[in-house]
Amino acid sequence: MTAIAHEDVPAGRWLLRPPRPAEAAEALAMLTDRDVVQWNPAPAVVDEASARAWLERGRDWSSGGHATFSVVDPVSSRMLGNVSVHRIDREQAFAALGYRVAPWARRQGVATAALAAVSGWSFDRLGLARLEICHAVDNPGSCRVAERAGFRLEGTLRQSFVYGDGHRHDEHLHGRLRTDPVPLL
Amino acid sequence: MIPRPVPTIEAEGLLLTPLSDSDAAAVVALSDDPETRAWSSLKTVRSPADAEAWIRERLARSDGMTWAVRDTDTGQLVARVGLVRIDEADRAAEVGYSVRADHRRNGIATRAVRGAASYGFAELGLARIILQHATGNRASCAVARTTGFAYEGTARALFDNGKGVRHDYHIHARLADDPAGRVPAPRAIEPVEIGAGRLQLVPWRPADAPDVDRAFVEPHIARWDGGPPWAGIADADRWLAARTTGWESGAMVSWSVRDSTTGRLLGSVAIKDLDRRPGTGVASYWVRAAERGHGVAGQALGAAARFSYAVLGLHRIEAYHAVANTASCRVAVRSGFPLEGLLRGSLRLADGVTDEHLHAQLATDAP
Repeated sequence: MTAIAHEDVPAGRWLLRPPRPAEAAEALAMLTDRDVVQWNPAPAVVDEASARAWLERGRDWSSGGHATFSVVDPVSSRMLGNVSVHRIDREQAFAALGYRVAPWARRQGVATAALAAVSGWSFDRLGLARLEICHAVDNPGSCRVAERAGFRLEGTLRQSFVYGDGHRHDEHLHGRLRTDPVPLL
Repeated sequence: MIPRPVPTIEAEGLLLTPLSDSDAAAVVALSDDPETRAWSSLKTVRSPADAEAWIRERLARSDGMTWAVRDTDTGQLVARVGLVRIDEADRAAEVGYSVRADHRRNGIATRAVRGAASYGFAELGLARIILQHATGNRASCAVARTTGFAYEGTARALFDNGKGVRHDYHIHARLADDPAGRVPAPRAIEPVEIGAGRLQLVPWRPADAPDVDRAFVEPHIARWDGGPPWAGIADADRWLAARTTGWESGAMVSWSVRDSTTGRLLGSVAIKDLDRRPGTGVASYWVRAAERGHGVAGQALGAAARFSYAVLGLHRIEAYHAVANTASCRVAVRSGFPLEGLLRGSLRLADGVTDEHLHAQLATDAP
């Protein structure tokens, strides 16, 4: 697989950029938030040092298998969340998306804007044809975000993933194709 | 841990054994079929050397198990079955198979899939196994349902078959405590023909692809279709596969509208986005250019709506159309779907975003 070059991507009022180690305190606060621990756990992160290592892993795009961004406020440089293009398969022109929003940045449309921006970037710069999002059915907020960002509900996968509570949950499968209409945000 | 070599398993008169280099000639015979070439990892196999490379690749995979499926009596290799993308942490895997063209319709795929799945649940401790197939591959859909893999959804344009065409895939899955037997399609609707005077509503068939392709390039049909630009017969196949999936999943009922005497294709009618609990659906229709002006759309819509009220228990059917599509507006109003509202900027067409009319009919309105 070929490495992916670092790039900043504008996302409405916000900016997507490769994660920086200096975001460790904010990353730790986000990853220990109750909702994030349940629906998007990163169990390896327990202190600022492990948060820094997590950011370094996100910053390392050399495998070509993922491109992970921090979502930041370009004025304050505050980290608001993260969004990741992972399971990148250039041959099948496919990838999966995941995202988290920090508790201090919710209900402002950060996730929708970040998803829409990273989708456009994945279609244009990586040449992908299909992007997928899976989220637990019990996490309906994620469903609204996916729909708003142009990801159509395609199915319900039964007990398909173990979440933060250690239980297998049903998931919604959402897909967006390069040829799908661009959502009006 | 995934055992190496794979163990030999008995599965209802079949023997699942490890693959070996001596199977190369049989693997060439297995791959010698357009269906197998189109859909499976055997697409690269043409010669015994290719087959040996394929066998070595299978044996070397750290996250998969592949079995040669042999007839217990003759020992002949008649199929292959495998558990692939085994994720031990997530306790998940995918099952895949190919059956030799001259051994199909003998239940080999069914028995081999059941054997591999039972092994995955009992010996590997898997919690979930998926089975995915291109939506047009009805045989695999039947195998999935017969072996306890429930339909969960359709992933659009999931895989490229190597010819630059992306295909929609059904996702089926079986959980460790699901029964191994047949899965009823709980919401499936049996496709039926409806006679409506000089019209006959006939569920679409795969063979209708050329007719569909000709219709979708007619300007008045292409213009009001919100989808991407029509790309020919592959899009027709995909459009038809979605109609089939609609009956299977209970999400849409759809028909070709034909002249009841000659069988000539006049148009299309569907009630889609079916939601049986509130009892709602959305009407969709088009008529070929040469057949317009004779009330075809209105009569077909009326028949489809009556079916949906009587058989599916719907109580409300909506119809949406771009405001500039005045022909569609006339059809809706004349068929008893009064205008309820104007949806601003709700539809994106090739030439930009447009407003739509919302029409609706209640079961109690229908004539």
